[in-house]
Amino acid sequence: MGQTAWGWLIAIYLFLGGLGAGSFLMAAFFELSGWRYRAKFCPVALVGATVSGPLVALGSLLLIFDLGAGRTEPWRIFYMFTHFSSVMTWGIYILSIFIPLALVYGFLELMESEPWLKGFVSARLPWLLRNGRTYRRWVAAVGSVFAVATAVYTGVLISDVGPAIPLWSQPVLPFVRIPMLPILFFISAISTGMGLTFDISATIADPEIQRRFRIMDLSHILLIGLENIAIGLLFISALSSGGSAAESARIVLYGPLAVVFWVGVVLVGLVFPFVVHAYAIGRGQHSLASGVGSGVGIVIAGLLLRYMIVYAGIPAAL
Amino acid sequence: MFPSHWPKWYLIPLSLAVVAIAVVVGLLSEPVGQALSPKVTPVPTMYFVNYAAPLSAECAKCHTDPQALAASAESPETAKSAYIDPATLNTPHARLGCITCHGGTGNQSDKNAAHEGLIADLSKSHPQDCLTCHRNLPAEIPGDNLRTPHGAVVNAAWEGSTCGVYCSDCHGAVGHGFDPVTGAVTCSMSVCLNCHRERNLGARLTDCDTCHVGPHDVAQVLSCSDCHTSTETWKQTTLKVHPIQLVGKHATTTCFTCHKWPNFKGLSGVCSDCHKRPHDFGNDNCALCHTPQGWAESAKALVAAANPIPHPTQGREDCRSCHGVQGAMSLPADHKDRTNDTCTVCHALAPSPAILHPVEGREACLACHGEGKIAQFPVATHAGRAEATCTTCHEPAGVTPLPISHSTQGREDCLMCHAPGGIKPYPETHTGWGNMLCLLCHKAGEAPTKAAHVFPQDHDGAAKNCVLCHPKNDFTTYHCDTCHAPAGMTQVHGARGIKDIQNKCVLCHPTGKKP
Amino acid sequence: MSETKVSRRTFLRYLLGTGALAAAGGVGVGLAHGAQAALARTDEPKARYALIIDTTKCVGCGACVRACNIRNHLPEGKSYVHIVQKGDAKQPWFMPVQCQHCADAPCARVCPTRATYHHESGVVLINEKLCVGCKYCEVACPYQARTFDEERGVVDKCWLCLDWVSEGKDPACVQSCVLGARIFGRLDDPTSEVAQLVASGKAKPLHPEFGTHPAVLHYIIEG
Repeated sequence: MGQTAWGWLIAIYLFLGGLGAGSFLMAAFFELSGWRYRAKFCPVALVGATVSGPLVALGSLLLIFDLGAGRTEPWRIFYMFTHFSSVMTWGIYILSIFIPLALVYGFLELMESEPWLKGFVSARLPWLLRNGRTYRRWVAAVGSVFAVATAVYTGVLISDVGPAIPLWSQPVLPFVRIPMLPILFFISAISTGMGLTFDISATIADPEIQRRFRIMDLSHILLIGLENIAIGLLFISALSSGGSAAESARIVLYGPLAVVFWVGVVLVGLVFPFVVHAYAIGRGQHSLASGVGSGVGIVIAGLLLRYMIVYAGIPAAL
Repeated sequence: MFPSHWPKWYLIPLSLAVVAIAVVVGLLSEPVGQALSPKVTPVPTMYFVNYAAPLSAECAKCHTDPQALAASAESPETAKSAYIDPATLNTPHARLGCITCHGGTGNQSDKNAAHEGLIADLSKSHPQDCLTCHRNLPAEIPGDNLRTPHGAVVNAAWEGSTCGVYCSDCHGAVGHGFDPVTGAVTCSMSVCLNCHRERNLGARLTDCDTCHVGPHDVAQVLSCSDCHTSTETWKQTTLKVHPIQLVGKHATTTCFTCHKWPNFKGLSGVCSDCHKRPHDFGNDNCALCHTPQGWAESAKALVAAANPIPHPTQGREDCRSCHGVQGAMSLPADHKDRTNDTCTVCHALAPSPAILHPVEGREACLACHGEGKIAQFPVATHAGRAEATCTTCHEPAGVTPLPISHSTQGREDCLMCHAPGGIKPYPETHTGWGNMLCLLCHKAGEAPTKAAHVFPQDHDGAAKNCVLCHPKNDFTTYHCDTCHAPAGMTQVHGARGIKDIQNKCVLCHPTGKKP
Repeated sequence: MSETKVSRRTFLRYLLGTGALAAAGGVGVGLAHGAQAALARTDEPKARYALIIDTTKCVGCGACVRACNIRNHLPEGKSYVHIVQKGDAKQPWFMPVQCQHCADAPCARVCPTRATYHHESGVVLINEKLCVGCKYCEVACPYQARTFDEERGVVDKCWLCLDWVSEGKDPACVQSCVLGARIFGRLDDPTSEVAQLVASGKAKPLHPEFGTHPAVLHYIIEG
């Protein structure tokens, strides 16, 4: 099929990176917009803040496992900070800043909602507790920038190979020389973040929550729509480019990856959540099951989308 | 939905669990998805193009090991024929790997598994396979003395009909039979002849130079079969058309011991490469005088053919100063390089007859010895020779001919007395000479010996005074009138009726007395 | 309840937030693109060497693949040269592809540790001590010239047999080609066959539209 250098480890990392960044952004948004404080307990903020760091860190660990000599001689990883023309170097800087920030943010958020931690902190670090909200806001703000960077840079890294793998470097529109993948990955990151933090966690914690945040249904539909458009444009552009790009599009649309795409990404990740949230907008609410189901679907689809793009990258024909 | 007294942080592991499930589902969906998806039929490519490796270590391991072959073959004969000499696996074709050409399944040690998909004999089942790589085969092999009908065979292979001749018939088992770069081609005439004779094909292949371009300079005049007697190897030859009969060792050496490849006209070596010159005249270029027929025979033949030297050689040792390569007395072409010291080896001395008469006053030889003249020289040998050359060969003998001791008057017929069988025969050297010749050398009347004087020498007191009767020492005649006055004699004899008494006194008065 | 209603302020905040996020995303992408274009190497080292492949003579026998495999002690099936078959089944033609030693090598650009670099002769080399095995270069090479070595954990590729080449010998693949489909020489010698072939335009870089400016490898392709 496509290129054979990067496999499922990279696909999972891309997924975890996007999911972690998206979760962080959800939590940060709720924090900075003040929505977090509408209720005593905000599951979005809690889950978003606490899982984002570990998820991205886990993804980075998988990256290190994918290395060759860098695994057996780990000090070589420090060399990766040196070459600024390489998107991978940017990435390692971004991750090096984001992961600690996300972990701090998670700690700050956990500190707020868990009494035992609150007690611990108030005993040892009372100043932290006193200005907890300020710190959280700062970390959320700064971390958001890096969360965006995390979500976007993976797409840039993939698309920077340029003519080597035509599918990955397809532009947004033929006359707009910006690659589509960073944008798609960004949208997918937000979407999966929203799915994990809101659709799953928040709905489990409080099934009525979606009634309080009706805007989330709208956002979901918006995001799904955008993601649809992005994927559609990607494949249209690929098909019309001919050559390896068209071949990549073909194996996704009706080749070996067709089931993965149509069932795993489109049906489960786009159609089903769309129906659920559209129904919710119309009927006023959706059931717990459908809510959680749509969230799970979005998350699974996020992984399968990354997986599909990685595996469908057919190198340019010689 | 969940009990509100549960700690809120359970959402964290819950979320992580969801993520983990998502990842597991993702990993699982790959094979499922692949299995369910429509298969893309792979485009068949030639098996060597993707060059997946020789993958042939297992093939070689078994086929170069007689014990392994004996264990897995059906019969000892099969095991033997399946054996491949490991040294032959170092050829360019073999280094491409067995399965590159033969197919099969590489890296299998089980015989049946390894032989799956095997193409055992490439040329017979896939005549085009050699041609897949060897694209631009020449119709004839350039630079080769063989107008191999390669083009005909190759074209037939493309069409799929090679009339039973395949690449491996001539080129052998390319991968492990011989090295086409450095090894000998196992090509054999019998491959072609067997079919062309059996099937009565147009080209009967009886005429060697249909295909073979003779490299020798004699190829224009001789046909291949004049010398070459086998269609399997050039080395089998016969000498029956050799211009010189080769005897002894000459008949058993190879042609190119003496000749320089590829030409036969002329020799490459010199006789002295093998033979030591036993005589010190001449030089080491034996062929100047000798032929391979035999030293003695050729020497004898030369001597027999050599013209004798008709002129004396004293003072004329430098033969070539006169007998150059050009000119009237030139040597024949094959004498060009012969040296002076060799001339007399063949050319015997045969001096010409000496000139027996004095030469003063007789410089114009041809006046007497020319054609049609008195003493004509032998025309056959002397034709066209100039007068000036006579003395080159004919030296004056320095012999003074005897004087005629008697008067020649009335004795013109010398031969009457002097012919062989006569009273006083001439010597043998005069054999065949006629009367006309005598007086040319023998002057009449020169100082007769005393015993021959008929008239008494003491006549009237002459007593040894020869000049009384022979004035001026002219002994060819006599004069009585020194004492006897002619007038008185004429009167005396006239009275007795005797006229004409001039110079006839002795006829009537032989003793000097009155009759 | 104030929790269900979405106030204007909230809505504006929401919009602003989304807009800011989108802008941030866009700016991020733009920055990314612009920055990496600016940081891309612009110096073009002079390629002293040229390896010309004459596809009119190549029959795809794979001797060069095998020679490279042997020279570099690679495991079976691996080689730095691979042969691409083009044309149809009846009239195929073959193109051996290996590292083109590009002047604007994308592998050198994307390598995070600078393990891939340009030698002064224009040849692209890999410093194994720096390579972490991330395989970004392998993905980024449009000619698929790089392979990952599982044992050593680094990526490797054609290095033009530089040790032989600097002694004046030919690389292994050139030596192994019996059909003369590979010609090697110095480009800076105008009398050399390769210089003349390149100058006359008969030998051209492969796929110049990739924009990598292959400096060493050139191809003679008919038609």
